[in-house]
Amino acid sequence: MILRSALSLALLWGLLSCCLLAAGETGRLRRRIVLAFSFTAGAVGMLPLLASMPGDLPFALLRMFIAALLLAMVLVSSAALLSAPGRGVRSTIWRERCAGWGRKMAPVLFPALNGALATAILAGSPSTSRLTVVAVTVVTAFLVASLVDLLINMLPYRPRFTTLTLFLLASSLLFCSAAFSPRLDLFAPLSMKIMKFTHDFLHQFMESMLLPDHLFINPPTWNFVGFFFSQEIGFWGALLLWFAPVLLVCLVVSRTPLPSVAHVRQGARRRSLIAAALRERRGLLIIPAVAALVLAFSVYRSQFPDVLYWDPAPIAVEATPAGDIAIPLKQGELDLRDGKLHKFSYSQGSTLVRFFVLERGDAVVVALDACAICPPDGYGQGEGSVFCYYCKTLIPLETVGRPGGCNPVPVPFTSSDQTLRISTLQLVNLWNSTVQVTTKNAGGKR
Amino acid sequence: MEETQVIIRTEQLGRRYGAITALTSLDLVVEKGDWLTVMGHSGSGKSTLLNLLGGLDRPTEGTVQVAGQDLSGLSENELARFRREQIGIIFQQHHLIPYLTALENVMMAQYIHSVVDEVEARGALERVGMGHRLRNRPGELSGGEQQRVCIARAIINSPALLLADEPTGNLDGGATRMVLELLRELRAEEGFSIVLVTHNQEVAAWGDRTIQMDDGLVIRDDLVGGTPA
Amino acid sequence: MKRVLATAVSIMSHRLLLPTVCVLFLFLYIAVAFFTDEALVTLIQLIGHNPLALVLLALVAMNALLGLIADIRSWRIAGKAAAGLHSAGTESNFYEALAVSGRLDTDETARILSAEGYQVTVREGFVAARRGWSLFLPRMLWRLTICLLFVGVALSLSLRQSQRVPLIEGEALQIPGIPPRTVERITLEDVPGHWFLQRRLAITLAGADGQRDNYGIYPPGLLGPGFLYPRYLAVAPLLRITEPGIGVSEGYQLIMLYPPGREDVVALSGDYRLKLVILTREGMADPFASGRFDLHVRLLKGDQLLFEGDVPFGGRFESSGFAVELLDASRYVVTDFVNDYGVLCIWMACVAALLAVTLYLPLRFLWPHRFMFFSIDSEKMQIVSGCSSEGKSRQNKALYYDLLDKICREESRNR
Repeated sequence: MILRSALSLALLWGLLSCCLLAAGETGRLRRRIVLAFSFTAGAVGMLPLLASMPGDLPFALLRMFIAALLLAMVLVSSAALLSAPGRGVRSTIWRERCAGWGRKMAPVLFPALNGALATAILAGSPSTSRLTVVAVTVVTAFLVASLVDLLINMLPYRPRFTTLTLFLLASSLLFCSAAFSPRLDLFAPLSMKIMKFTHDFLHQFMESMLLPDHLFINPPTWNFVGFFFSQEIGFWGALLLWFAPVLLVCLVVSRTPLPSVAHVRQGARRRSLIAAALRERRGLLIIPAVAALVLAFSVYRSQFPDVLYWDPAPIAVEATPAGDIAIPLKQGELDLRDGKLHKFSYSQGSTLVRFFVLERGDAVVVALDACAICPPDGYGQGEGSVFCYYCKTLIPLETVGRPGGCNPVPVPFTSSDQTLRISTLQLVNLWNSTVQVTTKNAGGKR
Repeated sequence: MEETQVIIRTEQLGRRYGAITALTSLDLVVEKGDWLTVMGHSGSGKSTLLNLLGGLDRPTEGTVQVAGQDLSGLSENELARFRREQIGIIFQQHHLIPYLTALENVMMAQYIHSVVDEVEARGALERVGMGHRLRNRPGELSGGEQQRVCIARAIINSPALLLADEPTGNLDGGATRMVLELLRELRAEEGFSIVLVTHNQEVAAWGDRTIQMDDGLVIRDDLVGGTPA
Repeated sequence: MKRVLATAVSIMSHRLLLPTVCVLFLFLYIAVAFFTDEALVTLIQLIGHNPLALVLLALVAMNALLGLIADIRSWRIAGKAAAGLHSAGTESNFYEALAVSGRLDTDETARILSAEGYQVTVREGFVAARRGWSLFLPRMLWRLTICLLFVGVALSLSLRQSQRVPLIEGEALQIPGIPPRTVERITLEDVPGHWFLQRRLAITLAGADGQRDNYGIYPPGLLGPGFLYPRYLAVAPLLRITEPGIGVSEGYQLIMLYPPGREDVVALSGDYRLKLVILTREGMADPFASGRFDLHVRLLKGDQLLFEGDVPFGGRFESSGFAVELLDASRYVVTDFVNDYGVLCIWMACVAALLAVTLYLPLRFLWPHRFMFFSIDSEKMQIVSGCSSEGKSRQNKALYYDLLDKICREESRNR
C-alpha cells in the first residue's frame, strides 16, 4: 500500500514539476535546480517537525498550510474576477504586480509543500526509518519528474499557463497528494466544518428572522429546507468550495473581453480576430479543466481512503439485574487495556446500542459507536486516531472521550475491581437521544 | 512586376496522376484584381489547374504561389487555413446544404472560417440581390438564385481569389448574364481576382484575359481588355 | 479637510468595500473557530458588542447607498447621451467607440436600425438607437438589498432584545412596559393546502379594555414594541400530588411533555422526582389540539425507580402513600417576545433581492439593453460613434460594425 501511495505521489509530483517548468520564465536548468532544492528542503525540513512534535501536531500544521492554500486560491480567484480587465488602469497594475509575485513564489512554495507532504505521508509513522524514506523519496521524485517531463514533452499540445491557472493546477495537485493520507486530507474535515456552519447559520437565521419551527411547516417545504439541515449539505457544500477556484478561474478566463475590432473595415478580418481571441480563451480553459479532474480524483480518494482500519465485531453484553453492564478489564484473551478498540453491543427491546471501550494511553474511555452529528455508521481505529465511517473524519486518540463535533459520544461509567460498570438506563437514553437526532435530523433525509 | 501586385505565380507547374499527365510546365502570372478565363475541352487540365490554385491538390512538379504564399511549402493545416482565408469557390453544381436556408448556408461558410455574423451574412445576400429570399432553402430557389447564394457564400470571407468552375453551366442566357454582371460588380467593390473555367465563348468575353488549354498545356493566351503578364 | 473628506468618500464608495468587509468577517470566523466549536454564535456575539464591527457593517450599507447614487447619475448621463443632448465624449461608457471619416446618412441609418427593431432618435447629424430594457432597476434593487441587509444585520446584532415568556391559556400575560393582557384562547389546527404551513396556531390576547388581538405563527404579530415569536407548544397538566408526610400540593406544571413521547420531571421534596410522559394510544387526538391526555408517571428516588403507573385525564394513581391526580390541563406556548427592528430591514432586503433576481434574469438574457449612436463631429470632419450592450452584445456589435462599414463605403464611393 505504501508503495502505491509512493508511486502516486511521485506521479503527482512529476506533473507538478512539469507545470512549474513549463510556466517559468527563467532558464530551464535554473528552474530545475530551484525546484529540486525546494522539494528537498521541504522533504528534509519535515523531519525535525515529525521528530520533535507529538502525535498529530505536525500533520495538523501541514494541513493548516494546505487549508490556507485553499482559502488563498478562493480569495485570489475571486479577486481576479473582481479586477477583470477593463476595470481601469490601477486594477491592471495590481493584477500584473500580483501575478509577478505569484510567478516568483510558485517554484519555491509548491515544491517545498509537496516535499513536506511526501515525507509526512511516507515517513509519518514512527516505525519506519525516516531518513531512508526521505532519501528514497527525493531520488524517486526526481527520476519520476524527469520521466513525466519527457513524456509530456512528447505531447503535441503545449499548455499555456497564466499565473492564475498555474496556481490553480499546482494547488489542485497538492490537494490531491494530501488526500492520500486521511491525516492530511482536507476534504473530509472541510465538509464537516461546512455542515456545522450551515446548521449553525440556518439555526441562527431562522431564529433571527422569527421563522417558525419545523413542527408548523408542511412536509414538502420542510423536505426542501431539510436538505440544508441534512448531512449531505456538508458534502455538497465542500464540493462547491473545493471546485470554487476552478469555477472562478473559468469565469475569469471566459470574461476576458474580446479585442475591439470596430476599426477593421472588413467583416472577414474582424471575424478572424474575434475567432483567434476565442480560440485563445478556449486554450486557457484546458488547465482549469485538468485541475478539475485532479480535484475530482482527490475527492474520490478522500471519500474512499485506501487505508485499513481496525474494526472488531461488537461483542453482545447483558445487563445485571440491577440494570448495569459490567465488563471486566481483563478476561481470558480479551484485554481492554491493550490500546485497541473493543466494541460491544447491548440490546433492549428494539434498540441495539453499540459502544466501545478504548485505552487512550492515560485512561480508559467508554463511548458510543456514534457521534452527535452523523448517522451512526460507527468508528474504526487507525494510527493514533479513530475514524468516523460516515464523514471520514479522523478523531485523534487524545480527544476520544471528550464530547463535541464528530467525537464519539462519551458514556459515563464507573470502574472498580478491574471491572467497568455502565448504567443501561443512561446508555440506552444516550443512544436514543443521539441517534434520534442524527438519523431524523430535521430534514429526515437519512 | 512588383510581387505585391501579383495574385498567382506558377513556375513549371505540373501534375501527374500515375502515368497520366494532367498539367505540364505551366508558367502563369496573374495580377491582383484580374479576371482570368480558362477555356478548353474536357480533360484539358482546366479543373486540375483550378484545384492546384485553390490548394485542393498538390503539384507533382514546379511551384504555385497564390497571394504571396508558396502552396507547396504549406502543411495540411496551413493549407486548410489558406483555403479558408484566401479562396472563394463557385461550382457549376451549387453544393449548397439542402436543409439549411440561404442565410444559414452563408453563415456556415462564416463558421468554417471563424465565427458567424448574421448581420454580415444578410448584408452579403442583399448585395447579390437575395435579400428577399433569406429564409428559403436551396430547393425553393431557381438556378440563378442558387448561384447567387453561392456567390454570397464565396465572397463572405473576403477571399483574395475567387475560383469559378463553370458557374453558369446550368443557367439560361438571362441568368448567366445576371451572374456575370454580379461578379463584375463585386470584383470592382471588393478587389478580388477571378479565375473562371468555362466552355462558353460568350462567358469568356466577360474576363480580362483568356487562356486556352489542351492536354495539360496552355495553347493560347489572349488579352481581352487587360494586359497579359 | 476637503482632501480627507474626498478620500473618505472614495473609500466609502469603492466597489471593493463589500468584498473586503466580507473577507474580514470570514477571517474573523476562522480565527474564532480555532478557539471554540460554536464559532458562529461567538462571532455573532463578538460583532454585536463591538462598535468597530458595527461601523464596518454600516460602512457597507453606506457603500451600497453611494453606489446607488452613482448608478442613478450614470443612468441619467446615458439617457442624455441617447437623446443626443450630451457630447459623445464619454467613451468609457461604451464597449467600443470609434471616430471614422465617412458620410453619415442619418435617414438611411435610422431606417436600418428601425428595421432591426431598435428605437431610434434622429437629430441633425445624430442618430442613436436603443433596444431592450436596461438592467438599471435590478441593479438598484440589488444595491438596496445590500443596504437593507447590512443595516438590518447591524441593528439586529446590536439592539435585539429577547425575552422568553410562557403564554398559558386562561392566564394573564405580564410583560414589563406593556399593559397586561389575558391569554384568552390558544388553538392549533391543521391547514391542508397551505403553501408552506401544515398547522396554524392562533393565540387570542384580550386587553383590559376588552380589545382582542389575534396572533399566528407567521408572520409574527407585533405586541407593543416587539414581535411575539412562538417557539414551542406545550401542555401544562394541573396536578394534585400527595406526598406521604409532606402533604398535598396542587398547580399547573410548566413542563415540556409535547409532542407526545417527550419526558419531563417534576421535582418533589427530598430526593424524589416524578417523571412524566404523555401516554400515546393509536387514534389518539393531538393532546395540544384537544387539551386532553393521559399520563404515565414514574416515581424515582435518586436513580432508583420506586413505582410507575398510568393516570387518566381527570383520574388518579396511588401507590405507597404517594398519589398523583390529573385534574385538568392547559395549553401553553413558550414564546419569545422579541424587540428587533433589524428583522424588518432583512425581510425587506429579501423581498428586494427576490425582485432583483426575477427582474435581472429575463432582462439580461431575453431583452438586454443595447445601444449605439453615430454623430457628425463637424469640427474634426469625422463621424463619432459608439456601442454598448448589457447582453446579446455580439449581435449589437455586428450591426454597429456593419453600419460603420456602410458609412465608410459611402465615403469611398463619393471619392
